[in-house]
Amino acid sequence: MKVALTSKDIWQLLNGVLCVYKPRDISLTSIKKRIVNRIVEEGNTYDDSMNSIPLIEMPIVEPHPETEALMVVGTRQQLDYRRHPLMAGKAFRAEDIMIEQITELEPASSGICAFAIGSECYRLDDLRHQAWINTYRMIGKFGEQIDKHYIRGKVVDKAPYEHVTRHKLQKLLTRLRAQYKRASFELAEVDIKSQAAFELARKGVPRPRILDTPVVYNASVNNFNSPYFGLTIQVTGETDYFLRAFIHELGCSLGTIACTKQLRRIRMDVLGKDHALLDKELNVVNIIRNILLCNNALDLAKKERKNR
Amino acid sequence: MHKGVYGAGLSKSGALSIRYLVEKRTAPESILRPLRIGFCNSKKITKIAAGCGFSLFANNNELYGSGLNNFYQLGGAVNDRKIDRSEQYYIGGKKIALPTDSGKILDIAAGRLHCLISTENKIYALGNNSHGQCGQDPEKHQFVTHNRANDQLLNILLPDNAKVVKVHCTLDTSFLLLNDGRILSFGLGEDGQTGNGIKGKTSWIPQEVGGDIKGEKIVRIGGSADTLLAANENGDLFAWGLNEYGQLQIVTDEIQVDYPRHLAFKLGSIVSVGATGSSCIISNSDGLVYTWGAQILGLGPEVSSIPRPMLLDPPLFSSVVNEDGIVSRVFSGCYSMGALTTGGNLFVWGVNRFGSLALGHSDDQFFPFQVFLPEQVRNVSLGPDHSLFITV
Repeated sequence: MKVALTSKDIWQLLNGVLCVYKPRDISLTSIKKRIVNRIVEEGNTYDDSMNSIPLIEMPIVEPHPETEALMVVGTRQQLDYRRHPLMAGKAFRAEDIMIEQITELEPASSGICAFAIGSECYRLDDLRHQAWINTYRMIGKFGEQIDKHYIRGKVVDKAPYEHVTRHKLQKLLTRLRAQYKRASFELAEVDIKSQAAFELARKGVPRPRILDTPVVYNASVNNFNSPYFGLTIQVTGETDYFLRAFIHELGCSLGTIACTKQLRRIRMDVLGKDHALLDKELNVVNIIRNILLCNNALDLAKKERKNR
Repeated sequence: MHKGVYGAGLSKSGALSIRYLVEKRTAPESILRPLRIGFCNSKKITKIAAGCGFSLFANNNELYGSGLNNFYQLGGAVNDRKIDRSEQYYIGGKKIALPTDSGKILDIAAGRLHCLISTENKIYALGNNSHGQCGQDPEKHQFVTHNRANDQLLNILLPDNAKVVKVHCTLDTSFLLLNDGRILSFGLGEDGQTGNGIKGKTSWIPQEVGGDIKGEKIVRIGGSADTLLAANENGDLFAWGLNEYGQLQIVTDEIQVDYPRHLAFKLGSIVSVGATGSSCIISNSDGLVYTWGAQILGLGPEVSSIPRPMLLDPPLFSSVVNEDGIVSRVFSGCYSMGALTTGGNLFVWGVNRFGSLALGHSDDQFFPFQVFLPEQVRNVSLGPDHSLFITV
C-alpha cells in the first residue's frame, strides 16, 4: 500500500528510536551525519513548497498627490515571500534534526546502535534508566597485551598461553557468573534472604538500580582455538572499555594475558539484528519504517514489564 | 564430551570421594561450591545416588561407592577380628563387586543406611536391614553385604519374576517400579511409607503397593523422606505416607495415609515428582513447576505453608534474558528441592545443610537459585548432607 508522504508527515514520524548496524572503522558521529544528510536530501525531494506558496494581499502605498502623506490606495495580489523556499529554506535542514546515540560504541567495534531521533531525545535519561541488557560477541587472543586495550593498537607485552584450556576458561566464566548473579541482587538493593528478592527474581533477571556498574549476566565460550577464543557476553551498564578490559582480566586470571580482536554488539535489550538497518538501506522510507518498528518493540517490552 | 561428576556438602564422611578433604585437617568440612570428583573422571559415570554420608556412582557395567560403610552400605566382606576386609569408611572411592551373572546395571538408589541396585537379571540391596529395607528377614540378617570372597551377594526374590525398571529409596524404605507399572515396597512402614498397609514383622517381603494405584501403570516415583508421590503414564498424581504438613490435605486430614490416594489437581500431565520431609514438588509436560506443603517452598521466606500447589513462575528458572525457563525434571532431597531446565541449568532451594545446595554460601535459599557448573547438568542427586551432579 503506497501512502503519499508529505514533508509534514515525515517530520511527525521522525520521532522515536532508530536502530542501525554500524560497520567497523566508522565513528558514531559519522553515522549520525550520514543519517541526517540522507534525511535532508531525500526529505527535500518530498518538499513541494515551491508549488504551494500562498498569495496574499499586499497594500499599495502611495503618497497623496497633494499632502505627500502616505496612504493606502488599494491592494494587489502577490506571492507571500515569507513562505518562499529561497527565503524560509527548504522543509528539511540538517540543524533541525535532533539525533543522539543512546550508548557509545568505539569506531573499532561494530554492531547494533540505537539513536534517539526528534522528541525522543528529551527522554534519553528515561531510556538509559531502563538498564538495557546488551549482548556482545567478542573474539580474544591469549598471550598478547595491547596498549590501553585498544583493538587496533600496539602490542606492548607477550606471555606464554599454552597452558590455558577451554575447560579452565569455562570454569572461570562459571565462577564469574555466580559472583555477578549475587552482585546483581545487591545492586538492585535487595537482601537475598528477603521476600523482596523472590518478588524481584520471579519477574525475571534483576536489573540494577545503580547505573554505571557493569553486571555480567551471562558469559559463555563459543569456540576455542588456542590462542583465539570466542565469547558471548550479556551485560548491562557496560562501556566499550570495560569489555576490552574484561578480556584482559580473563587472561590475567588464567595465568597469561589477553587482548580483544573483535567486539560486536548483537543485541540491545529487545532490539536485535532483525531490527537494525544496514548502511546501504538508509533512505527516508526505511528510516521511518524502522522508527515505527523500534517504537513498537520498546512499547511492547514496557507493557510486558509493567504487567509482570 | 566427557561426563563429569561434581559434589558439594559434607566432605569429612568421605562421600565426595576426594581424599585430601578428609586427610587434611585444614580442609573445609562443608564444600559450598561444586567440586569436581576426580575419581569419576574417566569412568563415564551415568548414574549417581547420594545417601546419608555415602555416595554411589555407576556406569553400565561397574559400580563404585564412597563414604560411610559402618552399616555395610557400600558392601564388602564382614569385618571380624580374624579377617578385616571391610573398612568403616572409604574416603577415596572403591569398587563394589557385583556377581558376574548380574548383567548390565540399570538403576541405583541410596537411602539412609542402605542402597538398592537393579541389574538386568537380579536386584541387590546392601546395608542395614533392621527394618527389612534390604528385602531380607531382619531376624536372620541384621545387614546385607558380600560374602568373604567378595563375589556373592544376596539378591531379592520377587514374586512372579517381575522385571524392575526403576529402584527408589526413601530413608528406610525401598521401592521397586516394575515395567508393568506396579510398585513393590518393603522396609519401614510405620508411617505408611510402604503404601500397602503392612507394618511390623512381615514388612520385609516385597509387596505390591495398593490403594488408588492398583491397576494403574505407574512410571514415576519420588519422595525422599516419609511422603511418597507417584505418577502414571497419563500424568495423574498419587500420594501416600506422612501427611503431617498437609501434603495430602486436599484428600484427607489424617496425619498418616497408609494407602495411595489420587490427588486430582488440574495441573496438566505430571511428568516429574519429588517430596521433601515437609513439602512436595511436581512438574508437568509444559515445563511448569508447582510446590505445596510447609517450610521452605521456593516462594520466598514469607510463604511457609500452602495447602494446594502453587506455581513457581517460569522467569525464576531462566538464567539469561529472553530464555524461557522450561523445566524438564524436578528433584528432592530430605531438606531441599531442585529443578533442571531443558537448557541444562539447575536451580535449587531449601535448607542448606553443610552447603549441599552448592550455591557458594551456607545460608538457606528461599527461592530457586542457579547452581553454576561449567557444563550442562544432566542428572542430580540431593542427599541429606551432600549433593552430586552429573554434567555433560
